Amino acid sequence: MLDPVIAEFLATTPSVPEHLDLAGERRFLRLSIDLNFLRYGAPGPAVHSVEDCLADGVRIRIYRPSGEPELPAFVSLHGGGWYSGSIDEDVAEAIHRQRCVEGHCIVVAVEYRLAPEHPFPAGLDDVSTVLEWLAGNAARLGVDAERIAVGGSSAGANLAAAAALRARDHGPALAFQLLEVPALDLTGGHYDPALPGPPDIAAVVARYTDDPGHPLASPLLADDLSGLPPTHVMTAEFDPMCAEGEAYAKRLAEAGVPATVERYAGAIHGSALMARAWEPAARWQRAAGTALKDAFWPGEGISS
Amino acid sequence: MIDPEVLAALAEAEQAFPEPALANRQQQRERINRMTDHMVERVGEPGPPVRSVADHTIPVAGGTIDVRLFHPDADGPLPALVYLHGGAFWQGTAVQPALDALCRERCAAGYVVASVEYRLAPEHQFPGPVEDCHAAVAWLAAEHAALGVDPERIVVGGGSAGGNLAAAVALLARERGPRIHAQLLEVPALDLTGGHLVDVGNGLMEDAIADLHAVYGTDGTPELASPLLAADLSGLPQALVMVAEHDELRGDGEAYVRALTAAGTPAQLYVGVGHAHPTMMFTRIFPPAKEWRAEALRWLGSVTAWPAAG
Repeated sequence: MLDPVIAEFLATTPSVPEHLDLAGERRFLRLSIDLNFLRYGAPGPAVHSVEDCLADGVRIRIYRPSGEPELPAFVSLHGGGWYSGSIDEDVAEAIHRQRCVEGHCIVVAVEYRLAPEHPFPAGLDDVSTVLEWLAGNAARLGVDAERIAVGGSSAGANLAAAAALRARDHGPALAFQLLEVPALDLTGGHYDPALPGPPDIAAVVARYTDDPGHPLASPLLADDLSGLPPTHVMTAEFDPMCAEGEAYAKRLAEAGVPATVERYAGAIHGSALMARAWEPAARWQRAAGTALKDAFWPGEGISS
Repeated sequence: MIDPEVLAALAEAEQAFPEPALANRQQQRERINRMTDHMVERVGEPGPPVRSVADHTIPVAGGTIDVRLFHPDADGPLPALVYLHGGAFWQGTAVQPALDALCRERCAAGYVVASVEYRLAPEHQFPGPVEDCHAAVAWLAAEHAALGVDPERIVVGGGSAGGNLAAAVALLARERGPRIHAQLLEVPALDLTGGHLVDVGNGLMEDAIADLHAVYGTDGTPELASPLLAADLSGLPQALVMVAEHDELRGDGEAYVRALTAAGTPAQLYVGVGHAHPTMMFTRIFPPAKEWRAEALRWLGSVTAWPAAG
């Protein structure tokens, strides 16, 4: 049974009209997510600084909680089915500020290249580029290279998990991964189409990759998950991708990786943006900040 | 679906230049070249000014060819792009308006651009055009000091048949030199046997393939005719392969990126959504054409930039 606020959100969020081309579809989705953020979202707090720059050619935005040196860094990846979304969305801006302050960490938001113009593994390559750039320039950037984490939401969580698999084998060393409503099995093996989500998930995946079973497209299908960094997975009860997130946490734990999973009752894919209007979404955002704080600053007492 | 304005421009050009009965090859070539120029004048934007445009005549096996050199308003040594025009190996020129705009645009971004007037089939059949293009790259590398070119940053590129020639030159240069830094393949034809064509609703291409074999003088099986069929694709210059969604040749480019990657050669794929084979030239009327051109510039910038200091 859906909470009335969630039901209203679903009923009043229009689906993409079929006549739109790709550029039109992206514009529609951007307007829609910005509008929903204005309706339901909570703005982020003030931060010490926000800086736009390029990391070996990849556009990034760096949020700093203070001017201190040697801060931990969280590389954050937006959702949008690999073909839409941007670090410029209002919700991304709010979440990055919130995690910067509550995790007391540098947040690096990545404008990775989108499919279908840039199919798999282009977006993933951009994430790897940023991780390597961050580790290679850590001292100059005021980053503690021993505490670099990666995370994201939905397709962004997929890229985060894949980048972490890559980094395990090729560096740089990562301290943590935070996976929110992650897409981890693109073959559809764990997807529940009865729950609210894209009407045709196979078409979304097909825009990204013609090899959905590749372990870097579907990290849940990777043979070996050992050696990955400590992981926190956040899932939503009514998300068609709920099962794949939880299966990933289970497999990580079996492989000896410290992994926790938290399922939000009543939540749907995307409800985390409703932090002003829906208390569980506010709780979700606080928990994500706390997960970063606990990973980066262990033993510093109960987080804010 | 192809943009209606793009379709209208293509249809208008066909009508403006009706095919004459019993035209010989040279008449057909002139008609197609005029038709293309007429269309590009309407649908493409001219390129920006550059510091200088100079024609050079260079020696090649059995004669000479012309190379048009665009120099940006910057002092060298500069990265260079050797660009090879398209036209199914028997049409097109190095100085046609569509090429002029493209070369100027890339030149203005900081590259010495060389547009090569390789000799055309059927008068000069395979591997003649490949040899001419290789000779042009070798000339640029040999004359780099006089031309203000950094020999470590020579990129070879081309569109359609020119993309085929660029990939073939990269293969040839792996054996003979000079060192090529990167390759930019736009809507390239990479398997002239037709084995990787995709059906985009225009029917089968058997007649076109047979005609191509007769004109170019090869059945497509040698690797310098079909780089996708090369036994060894390792050790080649890093590549950006740009394919158009509604182009039979999309399958060639996609397969080449997979094959290069599997061989350990760094390769990226760009899929031009909404694009047909020629629409990267339609910068005036078709917004995705500008995205395409911007992507090529972005990639050129990333592969030719020196690593940032510190």
